[in-house]
Amino acid sequence: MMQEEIPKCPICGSTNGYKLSGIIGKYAQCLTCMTKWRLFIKNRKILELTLHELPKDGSGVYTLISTKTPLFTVIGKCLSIDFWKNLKLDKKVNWEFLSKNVSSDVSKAVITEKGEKLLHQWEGSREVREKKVIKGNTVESTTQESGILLLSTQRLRWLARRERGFLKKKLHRFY
Amino acid sequence: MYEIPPEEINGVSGDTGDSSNWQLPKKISVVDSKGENTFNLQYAFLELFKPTIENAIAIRRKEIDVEKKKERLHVILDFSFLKTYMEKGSLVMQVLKCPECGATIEFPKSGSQTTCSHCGKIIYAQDIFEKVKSLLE
Repeated sequence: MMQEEIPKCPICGSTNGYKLSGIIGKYAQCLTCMTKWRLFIKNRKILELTLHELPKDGSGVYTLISTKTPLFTVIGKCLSIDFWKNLKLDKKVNWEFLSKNVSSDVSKAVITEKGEKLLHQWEGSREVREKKVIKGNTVESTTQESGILLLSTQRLRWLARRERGFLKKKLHRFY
Repeated sequence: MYEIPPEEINGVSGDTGDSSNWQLPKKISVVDSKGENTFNLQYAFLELFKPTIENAIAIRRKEIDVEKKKERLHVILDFSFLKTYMEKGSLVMQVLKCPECGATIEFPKSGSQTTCSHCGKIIYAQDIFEKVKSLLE
């Protein structure tokens, strides 16, 4: 059914076909780039598709020509079959879009080098391994350090969140 | 503290995901020459994190190439830079020998080329640099 409606994979353009799966919901996965969609079918016709898994070839960060946004922004959205049939990808990363994700707190906390541009940030935690000597024995422990992983044109750096004062969180300045 | 230039990243591995766990933190490991660093990051599917890093590496490599080309251009163009370059390699050159007639020419202080006062042959800093480079390497 998927092969009939969209013979060419909208993401990679392959004609190798799709693998169908699922009992309650129907899923189709491109055999080449491994992009997976959830299918919404009525009267044996695909009406809408939801992007369920991103392609494994890195196209998830490429830009949709129609919206100028990265492909990953449509993950989980129910979109008409026509959207997927007419989809065109610009094989470039829209860094301007991604850099909007960099918060003002982060921009203020880092001093950039000449020509350095902040590209993207991810919130989360970092595993910090520490060795401690307890009663003569060396014990290795892992703690989680909250913060932001910041990608710029010149480095990938971890900014640790430090709690200062009563419930006040601030980013630690490294320089 | 963790900080690394993108071009020094040797590999990225971690959790893959789908639309059902899109917002949940994903375990991501970044490997460089010093070892492995593990993070739990939001919106960081491997399918997304890896190409983002790879594209940043590509940008950085292009920048490095441009910088190197600029450096090379500087070396090609200037006798004064050539002098500094040689001094770094413990070489001092005060005179040049004309490749055409063998006359002695004073080593120029600046400029990209000089002319032999005996035969008129033009001697380029670039040619001398290529010879000196092989000596120093």
